[in-house]
Amino acid sequence: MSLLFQRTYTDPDGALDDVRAVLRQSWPTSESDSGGHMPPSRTRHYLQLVLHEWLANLMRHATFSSVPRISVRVSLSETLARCEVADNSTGFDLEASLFEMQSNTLPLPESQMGLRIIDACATDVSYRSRPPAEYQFTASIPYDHDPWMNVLF
Amino acid sequence: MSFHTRPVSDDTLVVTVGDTLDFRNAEAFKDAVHPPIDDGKRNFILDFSDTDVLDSSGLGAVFSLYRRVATHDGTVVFAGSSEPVRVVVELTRTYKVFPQYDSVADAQADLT
Repeated sequence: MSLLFQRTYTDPDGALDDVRAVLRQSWPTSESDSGGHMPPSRTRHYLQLVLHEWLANLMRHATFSSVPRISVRVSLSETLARCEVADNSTGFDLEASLFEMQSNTLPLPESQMGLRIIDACATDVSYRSRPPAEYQFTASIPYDHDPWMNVLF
Repeated sequence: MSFHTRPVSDDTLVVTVGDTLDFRNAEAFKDAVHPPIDDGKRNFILDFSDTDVLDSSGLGAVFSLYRRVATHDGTVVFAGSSEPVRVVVELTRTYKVFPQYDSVADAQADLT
């Protein structure tokens, strides 16, 4: 794995736009940039979507008992992109939330699609306690991943 | 954040979405597109050519618009979608509901 970027934010709203800008600037556009393996541009868009949805989820639903501190780390391998987002919120049960969202699907949903989008775009999605006082979200996006999400119409 | 809207016929409105349609401005989008339905607009051409972010809440706001116009036999179409928007459209298969056009002009030619 080679590190693409790592940043820490105390302003979640600013993090949304900064992560997008940094991803665009740092994403390899030639084989020499990437050490010989070119990740597809589509993977960047999936990664941007996953990070956006996760940061939005933290902003809207997480409880922070002190000033928010969110660290974003993105790395690339020969076969996949991986993101890690550590935060100092009180956390929540990701698997239970996903199960609830997937079992309550309505046609043309106006909400509750964010975690389902993350689950569709990425593999190895997890959100776990990282002692002493943080939670860490991780997700991987294989370069050959061709995701789709079942939205009812 | 406001959205630029432009009537191109009695029943058709072009909406320039701009850089972002996400959870931060999804309500503003609804505020911009729902009132014209009461004024007789039935077809909405969403210009996504400059859009870098379309998230789940933004797509939910488009679904909200579609629910309303569908009851009046109206339609919502996407025009000039950027790559980030195409990724969301293909991921969610929403091209089954929202016809996709290369440009606003192409959509306009078909709808008006």
